[in-house]
Amino acid sequence: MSNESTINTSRRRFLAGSAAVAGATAVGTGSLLTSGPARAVSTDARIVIAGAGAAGISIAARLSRQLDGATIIVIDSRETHLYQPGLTLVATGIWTPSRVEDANTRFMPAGVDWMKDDVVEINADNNQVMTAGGDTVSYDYLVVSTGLQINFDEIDGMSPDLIGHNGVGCVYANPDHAARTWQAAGRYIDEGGVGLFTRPPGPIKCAGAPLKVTMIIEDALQERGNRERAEMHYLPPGEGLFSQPDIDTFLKDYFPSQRDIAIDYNHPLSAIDPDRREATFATPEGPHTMEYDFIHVVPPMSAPDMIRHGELGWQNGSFEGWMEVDQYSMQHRRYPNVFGAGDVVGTPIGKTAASVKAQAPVVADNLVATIAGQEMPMAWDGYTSCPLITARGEAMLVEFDYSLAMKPSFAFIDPMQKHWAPWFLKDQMLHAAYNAMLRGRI
Amino acid sequence: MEFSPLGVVAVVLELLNPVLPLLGALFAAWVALMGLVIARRQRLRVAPAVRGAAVVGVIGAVVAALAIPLWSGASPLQLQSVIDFFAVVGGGIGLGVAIGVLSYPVIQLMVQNPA
Repeated sequence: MSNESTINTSRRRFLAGSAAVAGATAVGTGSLLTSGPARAVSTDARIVIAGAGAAGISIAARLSRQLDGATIIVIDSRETHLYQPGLTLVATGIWTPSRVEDANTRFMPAGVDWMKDDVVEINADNNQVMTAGGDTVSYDYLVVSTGLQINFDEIDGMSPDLIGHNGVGCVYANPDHAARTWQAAGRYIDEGGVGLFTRPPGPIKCAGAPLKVTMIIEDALQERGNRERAEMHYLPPGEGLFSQPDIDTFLKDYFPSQRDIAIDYNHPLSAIDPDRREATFATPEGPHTMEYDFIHVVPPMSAPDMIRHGELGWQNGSFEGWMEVDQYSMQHRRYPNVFGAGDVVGTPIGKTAASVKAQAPVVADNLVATIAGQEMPMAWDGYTSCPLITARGEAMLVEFDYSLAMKPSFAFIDPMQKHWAPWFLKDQMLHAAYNAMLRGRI
Repeated sequence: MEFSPLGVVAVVLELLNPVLPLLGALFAAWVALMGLVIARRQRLRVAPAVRGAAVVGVIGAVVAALAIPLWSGASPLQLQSVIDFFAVVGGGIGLGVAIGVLSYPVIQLMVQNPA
């Protein structure tokens, strides 16, 4: 055989091989993005999912693949999808607001009906939800993933309109608030003065956010060379700073000794006077008023009123007002055809995107098993995670569960040490993981 | 929290999603150039080209390793632990290999035997 024919044969083989690799990659990638379970459960069940946030869309994506023939209706009027874990980075000037905004159309699963309305009332005894638009939607199964509500009015004098003005900041809970918080914080970083960083009593979403905002702003003051001109106070409502005990102990020393941030325990914010720049705290010793140049307000939070004052909420106890679910199965404790996920549920810990990532497969698999008349196979162990940013460029990757013991995903990352790698994870990788979660892929 | 291999792939795809068309075009161009390399194999001096691509890859790895912390808004002084250094070095090596592989056909087509 001549050299030329050898070359031609080699070239043909190369081109054929390249085409095969490209084709296999495309098919593999496509199947990764569109594949379903080996055997979906056949059913004509009608499933309503209230809320198209992280939990609602993730669960819808899984159910759409795990069920064959079901009617799945997601009810939420919001077109914009917010990547809420990024709001802390927007509020501290690290990200632009556009990085946390996306479109729900990008993630709404195929085969799912999207009703652009909002659930305002749930009649669980009759398996119905009522919407703001006046519709009544019946269901066989209901997933409540409405998120929570931010109660600005529980602080006298506070309203969302104040954010960004008169030294008032609040990272919760949209990019506009976060961006305006950065405007106010930026002035504080430039000018110094007294900075108050608050936290309300009761559960809040992303419990680490108030701490992160505090530490990132302190770091920014250092970078600007204005730290000596700033007096910083962190004001928790009780005696604790963080639910995980090791981190709580760490912070109680770290804040005053390493960061010169005073901790004023038992200082829940009760009122604010933005014109006088005064904040009043309802301490056990009585009202205590402090002047401020910048205040990061974190308002009390609760489940939406329809849960808080309705039949689906815990009627008493530690989680009164939050959705009453079994903390492991995520099934409602009194209505077995109702499940909950995300910020709305009343469980000992959670209210993070990481918790949603762990809850979504539990809710989906347990709901499918319930439809199939089988025992629920999955349990949520309370896993939650907080990349606790200590400064721009470093973070502590804190992960724990109901036991409050650390549960690191990466054994080589010490959760008690500040590393660059968790910062990189938070800044560059977690948003991609979040999007994969929305598609039900992780 | 565990991640399956497919889960990792899913996350990487989401990470690359904004630049997938560009990567696709880059890959297509690379395949076309490799086709040319194969077609002209008899006229090419492979060993110097491979060495050249390796040098480009090493330079790319070093630059990437230095740039990764800065790209993330951190200073190199914030690399405090072994895991930080492993992450940066690993990232640099990965990018360096990719740069070397991508540059090979271009370099190879420039290194030919005299006609």
